[in-house]
Amino acid sequence: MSKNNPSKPPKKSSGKSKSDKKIPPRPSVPPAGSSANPTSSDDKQVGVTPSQLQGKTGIVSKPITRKAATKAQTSAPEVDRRTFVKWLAIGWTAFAAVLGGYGSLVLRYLFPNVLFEPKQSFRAGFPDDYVVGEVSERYKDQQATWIVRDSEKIYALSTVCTHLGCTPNWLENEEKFKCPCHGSGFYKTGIHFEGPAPRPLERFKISLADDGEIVVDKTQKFQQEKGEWDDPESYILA
Amino acid sequence: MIETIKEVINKITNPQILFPILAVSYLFVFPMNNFFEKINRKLGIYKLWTRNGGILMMSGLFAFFCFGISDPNFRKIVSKPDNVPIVGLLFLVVFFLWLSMKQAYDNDARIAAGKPPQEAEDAKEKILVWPDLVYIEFICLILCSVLLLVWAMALQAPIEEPANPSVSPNPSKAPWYFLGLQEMLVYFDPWLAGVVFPTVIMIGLMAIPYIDNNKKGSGYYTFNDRRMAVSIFMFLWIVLWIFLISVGTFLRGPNWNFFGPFEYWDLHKLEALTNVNLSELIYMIWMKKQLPSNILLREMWGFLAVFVYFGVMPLLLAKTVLKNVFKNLGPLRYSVFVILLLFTASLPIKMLLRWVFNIKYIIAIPEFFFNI
Amino acid sequence: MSGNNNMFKKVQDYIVNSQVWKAVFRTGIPRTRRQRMMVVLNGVFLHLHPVRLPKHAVKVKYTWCMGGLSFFVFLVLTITGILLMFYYRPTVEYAYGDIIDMREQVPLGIMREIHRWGAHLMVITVWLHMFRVFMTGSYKPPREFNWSIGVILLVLTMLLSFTGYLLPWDQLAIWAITVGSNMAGATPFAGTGGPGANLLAIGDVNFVTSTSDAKFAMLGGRFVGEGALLRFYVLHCIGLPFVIMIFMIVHFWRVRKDGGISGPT
Repeated sequence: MSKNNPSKPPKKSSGKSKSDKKIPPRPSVPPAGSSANPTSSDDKQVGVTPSQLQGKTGIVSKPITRKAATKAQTSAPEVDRRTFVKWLAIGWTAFAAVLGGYGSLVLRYLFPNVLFEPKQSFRAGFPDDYVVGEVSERYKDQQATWIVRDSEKIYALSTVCTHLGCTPNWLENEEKFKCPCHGSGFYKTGIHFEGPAPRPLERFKISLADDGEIVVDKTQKFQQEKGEWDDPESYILA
Repeated sequence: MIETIKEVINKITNPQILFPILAVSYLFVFPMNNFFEKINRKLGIYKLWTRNGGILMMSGLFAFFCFGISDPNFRKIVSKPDNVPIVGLLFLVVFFLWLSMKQAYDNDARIAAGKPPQEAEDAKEKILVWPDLVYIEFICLILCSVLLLVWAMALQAPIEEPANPSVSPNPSKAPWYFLGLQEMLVYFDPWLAGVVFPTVIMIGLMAIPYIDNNKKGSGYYTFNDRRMAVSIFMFLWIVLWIFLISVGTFLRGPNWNFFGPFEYWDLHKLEALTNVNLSELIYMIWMKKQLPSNILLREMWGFLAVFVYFGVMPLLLAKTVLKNVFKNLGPLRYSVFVILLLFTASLPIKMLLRWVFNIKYIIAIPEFFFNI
Repeated sequence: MSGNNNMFKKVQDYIVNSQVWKAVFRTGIPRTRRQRMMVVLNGVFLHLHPVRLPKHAVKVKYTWCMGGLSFFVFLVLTITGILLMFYYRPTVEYAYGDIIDMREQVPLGIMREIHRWGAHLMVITVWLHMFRVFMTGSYKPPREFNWSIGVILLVLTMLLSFTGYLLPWDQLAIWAITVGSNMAGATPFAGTGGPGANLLAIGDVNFVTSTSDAKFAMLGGRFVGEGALLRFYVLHCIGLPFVIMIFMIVHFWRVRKDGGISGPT
C-alpha cells in the first residue's frame, strides 16, 4: 500500500490511527515522494496513500478502504514514481556502499601486518655429507626440505606436494616421491609424472657459505615450469 | 571357494568396472523415458520397490557385511571409528531409498487406477498437534538420544597421533562427507574440484525449484509424475555422491591407489598412473611432432573441446535428445539446466577419459595454473 | 487403594490449582480439544507448530522425522559443545592434550564422543531430510525459497563439521585442513595457486601473494598453525553457529508461512 513512499515503513492505517491521535502531530516533513505530488490532502483520499496522509497531518481520521487504496496506487502521477525510483536507487546504492565498506574493512582485518613464523633459511652440513644419487631426508622433518645429490649437482626440493600441500613419501625402491593424499608421483628430480599434481616440486635457493657449508634459503623458490631450474642459484655444483 | 568369491568381488569393486556398471544399471532402475521403462518392466526391476524387494536389498547388504567382517582386511576398514557412520549411512540410504520409491510406486498405481495418492487420502482427516505430533516428536527425540548415547559409549571418538607437519598419514583422507570432493580432486585441478564444482553444486541445488517447473508431484511420493527430476537426482545423489563417498572410504588405500575391499593394503602396490595431456596426445603421439611452443597453439584442441562441450552441445541437445525438455522449460530455464547438467556429466566423462585414455588435462597451462 | 488414590488426587489438585502452577501453565492439563489447541497456541516453543495438521503430515512414513531430528541433534551439539569449551584451550601447545584429557581426566568422559558422533549424525540427518523433501516434491511453489535456505543450512552444517575437524590438532586434523586450505588457495583470482592470480599485478608487484590470498585469510598464516587453530576455533564455536541460527530461524518461519508441511493439493 505504501509502495509509493520510501521513507516510511509500511503501516496498517487502521490499527495505528488510535495511538497516533494521542501524540502531537509530527513536524510536517513532507515525505520524499510527495513534494512533486500535485494532489493535496483534501482530495478525499484519491491519489494519496495512507502513509502520505500520515506524514502530512500526523493523523489518519478514517481507515482507507481497500478499494480506495488500490485506486490511489493506480492513479498516482507518473512524476511521483520516477522520484520514488530515484530515491530507491540512491538508497540502495548507499546501503550497498556502506555494506561494501564495512565488508572490505573486515576483509583487511583478516590480514595482520606482522607474521610470526620460524626462520626461513638453514645450514645443511657440507656437500661431502651427501651420497651421490641419494635423497637425503635429514631435513625433512625440521625444514620441509629434501636435499638431493646427483652426479653433478646438489639441489634442495620442497616437501610440499604441488597438488594440495601434503608431504609425499620418498619410496627408495621405486625411486619416486609418492604423495599419500591423492597419489601424485614425482621423480627424484622433482618432475611430476603421475597422479593429479599439475607441476613439479619446487626447489629452494641453495648456496655455499664461506666456510663451505650448504645454506638453503626457503624464501626463494625455483619452478621448473617457469624455466627457473637453470638459474645457478637453484643448485650448487659438486 | 570363499577366496574365489573375494577375488571376484575385489575385481568387480574396482571403480573402473563398478562405476560404469552402476552408471548403466541406474538407467534401468530409475528409467527416464519409456524405452528404459519397458526394459525395467520386462526385467522386473520395479519389484525392488515392493516389500519383498526391500527385504532382499536390506538383507543382501547385511549379508555382504556379515560375509566381509570375517576378512581381516575388510574388518580393518569397516571398524575404523571414522568409517562407522558411513556403514550406517549405506544402510540408511538404501532403506530410505526403498521407502520413498515404494511409496512412489504405490501412489503411481493408485493414480493410474484413478484414485488420489495415499497422502491425499490421509490429508482429509485433520488432527491436533497436541498430542498427535508432539508425542511422535518426543519419541523420535528419545530414540535418537538413546542411539547417540549408546554410540558414544560403545565407540571412542577417533584421535590420531599429534599433528606432525612433516609426515602425511598414508592414505590421508578428508572427513567422510567430503570424500566425494576428494575423489573429484583426482580427476580435476584444485581450482575446479575444490572451488568451482562445490560452488556449482551449491548453486545448482539452490536452483532446483526454479528449474523444475513441473507442477505435478508436489507433496506426495511419486515417480511417474516427475520421472526426469527424480532420475537425474538419483544419479547425483546415489551414483555420484554416495557411491564416490563409499569409494573414498572403502576402496582407496595407501598412495591413494584402488584396493578391493578384501585386499591387503600394500604400501608398495605399483600402479602405473602415467598420464598425458590432450595436447601431448595429439601432437606427440598421434602427429609424432614436438609440442608447439606457443601456448595457445598448443592448447588449441583443448579449448576447442571445451567450447564444443559448453557452447555447441546445449544447442545440439536442445534439437535432439532434450527437445521436449527445451519445449517445457523455455530458453532461460533450459540454459541453466543444461549447463548444470553438463557440469555434472563432466565428472564421469573425465573419469572415463582418465581410465581409458590416461588423459590428465584437456587444457594444460601450468604456467598460469589453468588446467581443465 | 482408594484412599491412596484419593490422596494422590488431592495432592494433584492442590498443585494444579496453586497460583504458581496456574501462572506457568495457563491452559491447565490439556484434556479437552480446546485446551489442546490453546497449549500449542500459547506456548512459545510449541507455537513453532500449527494447531491442526492434515493426518499425512504426522506420519513418519511421510516425513521420516529427519528435519526435526537435525534440529534436535543441533541442540545436542550446542550443549555438548559448550561443555567441551570448559576444558579445551585452542593453542598448538595444549589442544591435543586437552582432547586426550577430556576422555581420561574428566568425569563422564564421553562428552566429546557425543559431540563427534552427533556431528556425523547431523550431516546424515540433514542429507536424508533433503532427500525426503526432494522425493515428495516439497520444494515446489510456494516453497522454492525455503529449499534454497535449506541448501545454505546444508553448507553451513558441513562447514561447522569441517571447522571442528581441526580442533583436536591431530594428524587427521591438520592434513584435512591442509588439503582444504590449499583448495582455497586455488580459488581463481583470489589464491596464489589458482588461475588468474598472477594476472592481477602491476609490473612486478603482485596483488595476490601468499600473505594476501584466500588461503591466508582462512588460516591466518601461510601454513596450518597457531593462527589457523584460533580462527577455526572462533568460527566453530561462535561465528558459524551464529549464522546457522539465523538461517534456521528463517527456515522454520518459512515452513509455517509457506503453508506448513507440504501435502497433495
